[in-house]
Amino acid sequence: MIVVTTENVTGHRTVRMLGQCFGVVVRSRGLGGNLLASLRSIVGGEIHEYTQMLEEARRHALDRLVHNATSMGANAILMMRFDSAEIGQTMSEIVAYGTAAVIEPAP
Amino acid sequence: MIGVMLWLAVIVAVVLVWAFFRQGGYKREALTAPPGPEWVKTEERFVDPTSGDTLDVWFDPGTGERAYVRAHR
Repeated sequence: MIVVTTENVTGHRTVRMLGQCFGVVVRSRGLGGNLLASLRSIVGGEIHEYTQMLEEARRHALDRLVHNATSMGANAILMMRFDSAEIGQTMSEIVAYGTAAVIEPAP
Repeated sequence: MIGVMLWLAVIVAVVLVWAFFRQGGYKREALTAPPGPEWVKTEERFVDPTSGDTLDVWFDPGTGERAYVRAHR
Protein backbone atom coordinates (compact mmCIF):
# COMPACT_ATOMS: atom_id res chain seq x y z
CA MET A 1 0.00 0.00 0.00
CA ILE A 2 1.46 3.31 -1.10
CA VAL A 3 0.26 6.27 0.94
CA VAL A 4 1.11 9.68 -0.47
CA THR A 5 0.11 13.26 0.22
CA THR A 6 0.31 14.15 -3.46
CA GLU A 7 -2.23 13.77 -6.27
CA ASN A 8 -0.07 11.37 -8.24
CA VAL A 9 2.53 8.74 -7.48
CA THR A 10 5.77 9.25 -9.34
CA GLY A 11 6.37 6.55 -11.92
CA HIS A 12 2.82 5.25 -11.69
CA ARG A 13 -0.46 5.98 -13.40
CA THR A 14 -3.82 5.93 -11.68
CA VAL A 15 -5.97 3.19 -13.17
CA ARG A 16 -9.08 3.63 -11.01
CA MET A 17 -10.29 5.95 -8.28
CA LEU A 18 -12.29 4.07 -5.66
CA GLY A 19 -13.45 7.04 -3.62
CA GLN A 20 -12.83 8.56 -0.24
CA CYS A 21 -11.72 6.49 2.70
CA PHE A 22 -11.21 7.30 6.35
CA GLY A 23 -9.52 6.16 9.53
CA VAL A 24 -11.04 7.71 12.64
CA VAL A 25 -9.91 7.28 16.22
CA VAL A 26 -10.67 9.01 19.51
CA ARG A 27 -8.15 8.46 22.27
CA SER A 28 -7.62 9.63 25.81
CA ARG A 29 -4.88 9.39 28.39
CA GLY A 30 -5.68 7.48 31.55
CA LEU A 31 -6.14 9.11 34.92
CA GLY A 32 -2.46 8.65 35.81
CA GLY A 33 -1.27 10.13 32.53
CA ASN A 34 -3.52 13.17 32.89
CA LEU A 35 -2.27 13.77 36.43
CA LEU A 36 1.36 13.53 35.34
CA ALA A 37 0.68 15.83 32.39
CA SER A 38 -0.98 18.39 34.67
CA LEU A 39 2.03 18.38 36.96
CA ARG A 40 4.42 18.65 34.02
CA SER A 41 2.49 21.62 32.57
CA ILE A 42 3.31 23.60 35.71
CA VAL A 43 7.00 23.45 34.84
CA GLY A 44 6.52 23.78 31.08
CA GLY A 45 8.22 22.04 28.18
CA GLU A 46 7.10 19.01 26.23
CA ILE A 47 4.24 17.03 27.72
CA HIS A 48 5.45 13.53 26.93
CA GLU A 49 2.19 11.88 28.00
CA TYR A 50 0.21 13.78 25.36
CA THR A 51 2.93 13.44 22.73
CA GLN A 52 2.72 9.67 23.23
CA MET A 53 -1.08 9.76 23.06
CA LEU A 54 -1.13 11.72 19.81
CA GLU A 55 1.62 9.59 18.27
CA GLU A 56 -0.41 6.46 19.03
CA ALA A 57 -3.55 8.13 17.70
CA ARG A 58 -1.74 9.02 14.48
CA ARG A 59 -0.60 5.42 13.98
CA HIS A 60 -3.99 4.06 14.92
CA ALA A 61 -5.84 6.34 12.48
CA LEU A 62 -3.39 5.53 9.68
CA ASP A 63 -3.69 1.80 10.39
CA ARG A 64 -7.47 2.07 10.07
CA LEU A 65 -7.24 4.13 6.89
CA VAL A 66 -4.96 1.57 5.24
CA HIS A 67 -7.15 -1.30 6.43
CA ASN A 68 -10.26 0.35 4.99
CA ALA A 69 -8.53 1.14 1.70
CA THR A 70 -7.36 -2.48 1.41
CA SER A 71 -10.91 -3.71 1.95
CA MET A 72 -12.00 -1.41 -0.90
CA GLY A 73 -9.48 -3.11 -3.21
CA ALA A 74 -7.07 -0.18 -3.38
CA ASN A 75 -3.31 -0.44 -3.58
CA ALA A 76 -2.69 3.26 -2.94
CA ILE A 77 -4.07 6.19 -1.02
CA LEU A 78 -3.69 9.58 -2.67
CA MET A 79 -3.88 13.04 -1.06
CA MET A 80 -3.71 11.61 2.45
CA ARG A 81 -4.39 14.18 5.17
CA PHE A 82 -4.75 14.28 8.93
CA ASP A 83 -7.36 16.26 10.80
CA SER A 84 -7.70 16.61 14.54
CA ALA A 85 -10.16 17.89 17.09
CA GLU A 86 -10.69 17.82 20.82
CA ILE A 87 -13.67 16.14 22.45
CA GLY A 88 -14.26 17.15 26.03
CA GLN A 89 -11.23 18.07 28.09
CA THR A 90 -9.09 14.99 27.69
CA MET A 91 -10.12 13.21 24.49
CA SER A 92 -8.47 13.77 21.16
CA GLU A 93 -9.92 12.81 17.79
CA ILE A 94 -7.65 12.12 14.84
CA VAL A 95 -8.98 11.52 11.34
CA ALA A 96 -6.78 10.24 8.56
CA TYR A 97 -8.43 10.47 5.15
CA GLY A 98 -7.57 10.24 1.50
CA THR A 99 -8.62 8.90 -1.86
CA ALA A 100 -8.38 5.16 -2.33
CA ALA A 101 -7.04 4.30 -5.77
CA VAL A 102 -5.65 1.55 -7.91
CA ILE A 103 -2.33 2.43 -9.50
CA GLU A 104 0.14 0.58 -11.69
CA PRO A 105 3.68 1.30 -12.86
CA ALA A 106 3.71 3.66 -15.82
CA PRO A 107 4.84 2.05 -19.09
CA MET B 1 -13.68 -0.98 59.38
CA ILE B 2 -16.38 0.22 56.98
CA GLY B 3 -14.01 2.90 55.71
CA VAL B 4 -11.35 0.31 54.90
CA MET B 5 -13.92 -1.84 53.11
CA LEU B 6 -15.08 1.14 51.07
CA TRP B 7 -11.51 1.98 50.02
CA LEU B 8 -10.90 -1.65 49.08
CA ALA B 9 -14.10 -1.64 47.01
CA VAL B 10 -12.99 1.54 45.22
CA ILE B 11 -9.55 0.07 44.47
CA VAL B 12 -11.06 -3.20 43.20
CA ALA B 13 -13.51 -1.23 41.02
CA VAL B 14 -10.68 0.83 39.50
CA VAL B 15 -8.63 -2.30 38.78
CA LEU B 16 -11.66 -4.02 37.20
CA VAL B 17 -12.42 -1.00 35.00
CA TRP B 18 -8.77 -0.82 33.93
CA ALA B 19 -8.59 -4.57 33.19
CA PHE B 20 -11.90 -4.56 31.28
CA PHE B 21 -11.14 -1.58 29.05
CA ARG B 22 -7.48 -2.46 28.40
CA GLN B 23 -8.42 -5.75 26.75
CA GLY B 24 -8.45 -5.61 22.98
CA GLY B 25 -6.75 -2.23 22.94
CA TYR B 26 -4.48 -0.91 20.26
CA LYS B 27 -1.14 -2.72 20.23
CA ARG B 28 1.57 -0.11 20.24
CA GLU B 29 4.61 -2.26 20.98
CA ALA B 30 7.31 -2.14 18.34
CA LEU B 31 8.33 -5.53 16.96
CA THR B 32 11.87 -6.77 16.43
CA ALA B 33 10.99 -8.66 13.23
CA PRO B 34 8.11 -8.61 10.72
CA PRO B 35 5.16 -10.78 11.85
CA GLY B 36 5.24 -13.14 8.87
CA PRO B 37 6.80 -13.98 5.50
CA GLU B 38 3.93 -12.44 3.52
CA TRP B 39 4.53 -9.02 5.03
CA VAL B 40 6.01 -6.33 2.76
CA LYS B 41 8.31 -3.56 3.93
CA THR B 42 7.17 -0.06 3.02
CA GLU B 43 9.39 3.00 2.63
CA GLU B 44 7.76 4.58 5.67
CA ARG B 45 10.18 5.13 8.57
CA PHE B 46 9.96 7.34 11.63
CA VAL B 47 11.46 7.86 15.07
CA ASP B 48 9.19 6.90 17.95
CA PRO B 49 9.15 9.97 20.25
CA THR B 50 8.56 7.81 23.33
CA SER B 51 11.31 5.22 22.96
CA GLY B 52 13.60 7.00 20.48
CA ASP B 53 13.64 3.85 18.33
CA THR B 54 13.65 4.14 14.56
CA LEU B 55 10.71 2.15 13.26
CA ASP B 56 10.01 0.73 9.81
CA VAL B 57 6.45 0.13 8.71
CA TRP B 58 5.56 -3.29 7.33
CA PHE B 59 2.33 -4.12 5.54
CA ASP B 60 0.27 -7.27 4.99
CA PRO B 61 -1.32 -6.95 1.51
CA GLY B 62 -3.84 -9.68 2.32
CA THR B 63 -5.43 -8.13 5.38
CA GLY B 64 -4.34 -4.50 5.15
CA GLU B 65 -2.68 -4.65 8.57
CA ARG B 66 0.37 -2.58 9.38
CA ALA B 67 3.16 -3.43 11.80
CA TYR B 68 5.91 -1.30 13.32
CA VAL B 69 9.30 -3.00 13.34
CA ARG B 70 12.55 -1.67 14.81
CA ALA B 71 14.89 -0.70 11.99
CA HIS B 72 18.16 -2.62 11.67
CA ARG B 73 20.95 -0.14 11.26
